[in-house]
Amino acid sequence: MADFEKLQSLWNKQEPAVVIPAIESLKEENKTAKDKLMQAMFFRGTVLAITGIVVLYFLFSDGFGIASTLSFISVAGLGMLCLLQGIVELYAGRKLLKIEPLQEPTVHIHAWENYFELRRRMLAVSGPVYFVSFNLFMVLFFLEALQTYTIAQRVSIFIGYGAWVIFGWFVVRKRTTKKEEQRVIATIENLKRIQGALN
Amino acid sequence: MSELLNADKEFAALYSTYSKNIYYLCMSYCNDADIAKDLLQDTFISVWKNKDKFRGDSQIGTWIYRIAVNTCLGYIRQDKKSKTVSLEDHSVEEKMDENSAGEERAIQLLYEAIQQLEEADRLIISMVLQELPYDQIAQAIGIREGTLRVKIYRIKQQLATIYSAIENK
Repeated sequence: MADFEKLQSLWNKQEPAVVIPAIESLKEENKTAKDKLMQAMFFRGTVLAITGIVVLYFLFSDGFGIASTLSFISVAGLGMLCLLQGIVELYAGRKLLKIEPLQEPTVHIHAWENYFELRRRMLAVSGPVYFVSFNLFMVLFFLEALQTYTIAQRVSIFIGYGAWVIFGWFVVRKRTTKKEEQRVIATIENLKRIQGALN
Repeated sequence: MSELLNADKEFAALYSTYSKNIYYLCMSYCNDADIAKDLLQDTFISVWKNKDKFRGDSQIGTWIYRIAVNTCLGYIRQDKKSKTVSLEDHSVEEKMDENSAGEERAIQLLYEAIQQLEEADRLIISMVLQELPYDQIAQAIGIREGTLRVKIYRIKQQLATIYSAIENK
C-alpha cells in the first residue's frame, strides 16, 4: 500500500493541467452556471405568465370576437394553462434563487434537493397535466372551428391530430422526459448520499 | 471610485493567492481540466458577487473554500455533459503516450484514485493534500473537527489503497 506521505509529495509537485484563466475573464463571464439556469427559468416563466395574462385579459375584455361558449372555454383554458405553467416556472426559479454559495454544504445540498424534488414533480405531474389539458382545450377549439367541415374532413383532422398527440406522448416524451426524469431521480439519490456523507 | 479600485485590487490579490489551489480542489472533484476551470470561474464569480457578505467570522481563505465546495457540489446538478471518469475512459497507457514523464503519470494516477472516492471525500482529501489546517477544512465543509479527523483517517487509508491498486494494475 502506498503511504500517504508519498501521495502528499506527489501532490506538491504538480502544476495545473490548464492555464488558470486571467482575472479579466471573470469580468467578461460574470454569471455562474446557476445564474444562467435561473435567468432562463425566470425568462420562460415571465413570458408564459405574460402570454397567459394577455390572452385572458383580451378574452374577458372584448372576447376576441368569440361568440360560442366552446371556443371561449378553450381559449380561456389555453390562457390559464400558460399562466399556470409560467407560475410553476417562476416558482422553480425562486427555489434556485434560494441556493446560495455561502450556505453550510449540508444546507446547500438540501436546497438543491428541494429544487430537484420540485423538478421531479414538474416532470411527473405538471408536465402530463399540461399536455392533457392543452390537447383537451385544442379539441374543444377544433369542435367549434371545424363545424362547417364535412364529417369525413372532421374525422380525418381528428385522426391526424390524435396521431400527432400519440406520437408526442409515446415517442417524443418518452425520449426526452423519461431521460430527464431518470437524471433527476439519480441526482436526488446522489444528493441524499452526499448529505449522508457530510453528516 | 477609490473604494471600487480597492475592491478590485483586493479581489485580484485573492485570486492570485487562491486560484491555483481552488483549481486543484475542483480538479480533484471532477478530474476534468475544462470542467475544473469552469468551476474555478464560477467560484470566483460567486466570491466577487458575495464579497460584501464576508463578515470576518472565519478566515477569508476558509470562506473562499466554502464557496468552492458548494460550487463543486452544485455543479453536477446543472451539468448536462456530466461524465464519470473511469479508469477505462482515461487509460494509463493512453496518458503515457501523451506525456512520458513518470511524475506526470503518477499525478494523473493520483487524480484517478481521488476520483474513485465519494464526492464529499474528494473535496476533503484535496484540502488535506493542500495542507489546510483541520479547523479550516471543518469550517469549509461544515462538519465538526472531531468528525472530520475520523473521516480524514479513513479517507487517507482508502486513497492509499486505491492508488496502490491502480499503480499495480
